[in-house]
Amino acid sequence: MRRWLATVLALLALTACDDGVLELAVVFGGTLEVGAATPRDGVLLVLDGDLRLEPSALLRGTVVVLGGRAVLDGRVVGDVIALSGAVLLGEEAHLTGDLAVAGDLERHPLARVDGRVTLGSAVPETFAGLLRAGPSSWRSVLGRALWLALLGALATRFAGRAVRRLVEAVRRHTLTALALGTLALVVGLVLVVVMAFTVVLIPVSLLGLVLGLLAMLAGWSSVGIALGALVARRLGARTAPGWSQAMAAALGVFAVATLLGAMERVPFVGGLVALGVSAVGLGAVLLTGFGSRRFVPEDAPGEFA
Amino acid sequence: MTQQRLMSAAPEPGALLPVMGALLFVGMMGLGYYYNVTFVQIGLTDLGRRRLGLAADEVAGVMAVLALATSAVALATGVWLRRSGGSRDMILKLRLAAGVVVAQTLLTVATPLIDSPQAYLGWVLLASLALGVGVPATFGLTVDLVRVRWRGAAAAAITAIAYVAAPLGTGDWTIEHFTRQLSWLMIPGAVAAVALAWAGGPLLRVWSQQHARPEYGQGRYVRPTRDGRPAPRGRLLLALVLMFGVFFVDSFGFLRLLETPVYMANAWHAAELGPRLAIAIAHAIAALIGGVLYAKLGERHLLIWVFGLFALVHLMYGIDARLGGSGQALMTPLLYAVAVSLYTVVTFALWADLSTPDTITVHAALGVALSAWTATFLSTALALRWEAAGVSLREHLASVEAIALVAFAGLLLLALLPRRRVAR
Repeated sequence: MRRWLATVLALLALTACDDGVLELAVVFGGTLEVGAATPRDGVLLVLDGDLRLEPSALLRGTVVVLGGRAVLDGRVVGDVIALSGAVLLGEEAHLTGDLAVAGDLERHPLARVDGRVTLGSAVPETFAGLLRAGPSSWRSVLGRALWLALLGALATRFAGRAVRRLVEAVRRHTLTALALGTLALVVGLVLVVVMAFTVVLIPVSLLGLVLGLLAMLAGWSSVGIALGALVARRLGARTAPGWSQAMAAALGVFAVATLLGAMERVPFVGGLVALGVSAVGLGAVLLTGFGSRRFVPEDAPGEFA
Repeated sequence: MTQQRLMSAAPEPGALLPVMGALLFVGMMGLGYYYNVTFVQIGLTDLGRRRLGLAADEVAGVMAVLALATSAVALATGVWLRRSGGSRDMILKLRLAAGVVVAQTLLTVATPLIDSPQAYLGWVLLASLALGVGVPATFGLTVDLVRVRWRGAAAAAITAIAYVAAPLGTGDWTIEHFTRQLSWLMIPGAVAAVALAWAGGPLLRVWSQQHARPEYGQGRYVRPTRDGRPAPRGRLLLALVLMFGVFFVDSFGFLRLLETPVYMANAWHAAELGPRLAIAIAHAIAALIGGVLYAKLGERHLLIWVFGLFALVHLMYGIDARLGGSGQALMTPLLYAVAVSLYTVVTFALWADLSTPDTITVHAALGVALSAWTATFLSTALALRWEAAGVSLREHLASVEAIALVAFAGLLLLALLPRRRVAR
């Protein structure tokens, strides 16, 4: 019953984020057209195929091209980064951010770029831009933080044992969780996209996406609960099992979620911090199987062979 | 001799010397592996194809000779070291390694003299001799120089050194470029190796006794058997099979990708620095991840990821080939790099963790010869046969994907089976 309750709450939290938990669209083959009537927000990742931004269309966020082409003839409020593939800027293209292209670039003489233009081997800047995404609004950040805090508090109150295992993995095995979480984040994202591309696996892909987002939510909450418990201990506050522990957890989760939102506004470092926190949380979730078992490293006494 | 007696006989070294020993091992293996992935795997092929004008199957035949001869010499050397007690003799292993570095330096410098297929084959046979001796000798030094708990980190550092340097330093895939580049590294390296091996004095005295300490000498997966002798039980056999599978899948898939210029020109062999830098960074990050996960989760967990990644990557290449093979998506080679780094970490740590000072040379020889070189030989032969039989790129990639998926599913099942708790 508690498990079902946690699932329902997590789904509620997902729907509460008005900008979506992950504002990311991926082009992997075919053509994605963004017209004047359909403006888009968030990161657009082009792995293959074409992204077409029509004249007078608006795209608010970062465009990352790792393959295929980005044909831009409208307004991009953000950066455009191409590590490979091609970028074509039409007559009406207007980029308010930076343009960094390591692949091919065709630029109409009237195309406007307000930011810095880096080409060819100026790759470090390109990578810095890769981790920069359009920040969410503060209303969205606070709304997400509140829902996650509520989720954290309820989980601590009603699924105490699982939460303790998750928090233990975050606190005592941070590096292992970071490593596993990073690997799972990268591979999971690609896997979901590739499965969707096979068409027949679209339902599996959607299921994977939902599971992945639940894992991310549980992960963020775990990091927040761990932080809440740590601060409570440092302040000498006694948190007995029950609602006082749940309050500490809620405050910790709220702090972490708000910090992650704030970090979206810090170039490069902010992205790295957000990625790191997400990876640690996700890693803890995987190490403990959503808190269903205690993680014991293989090198510890009493290991399995 | 029992482990307890060994423990009591071992001296307590200072804090700095063990770190220096581990750094020496990392540097030596990192450079050696860089030599292997550039000069041996790419340079020798270029020498045969471009400079000597040999056909693809003739060059593959010579590379097969290299693989088999190296395996045979490695096994013979490993068994000899085990039986003669040389496996425990750090100074002997270091001197053998220094001799191999000198021989390989001379052979590298002499490559401009190769002007006929006969000279090419002769060079390869001499190189097999050196590499074959080098495998048990250098891998054997793990138990002397790298603590058990440092092995994941050391393997990660070796992998990162080799795979960051390889895509960044090798825009030009010609034997002439590799010969020039590696001569600059190997000549001073050979002098330093000889000086250390024959005049190392106090350093060698400390390092040569470290294997007697349990934190160095008793591999992580070695458990005492009923008769008191430490042995890795069935884990060694399973490791040999799994590593054979990994090397086979990697080599079988990559050989066909190598023959598809669009996949090389947009990734490993790109004219621009961008894609190669991205691959180098992916290798480095994956090596660090591999080092951490190997230490905490073990080799099987990592190999599940590796087989899963290989299946995913070949599916992605297959989709690309079905769409006309633009080869533009950099994500695919980046994920390939992640898989390769993860299993390379396992390669550099696992054989020592399945061994004692007595068995390390023969286990390393078995591991590298049976898993790595034999898998490479068989995959090369099969890939050539399939290409000659007209098997398309898509079919080839789908087969590699299927093999990787089967291994992935098998390992996953193994991981889910009830496990036995070992009392310590």
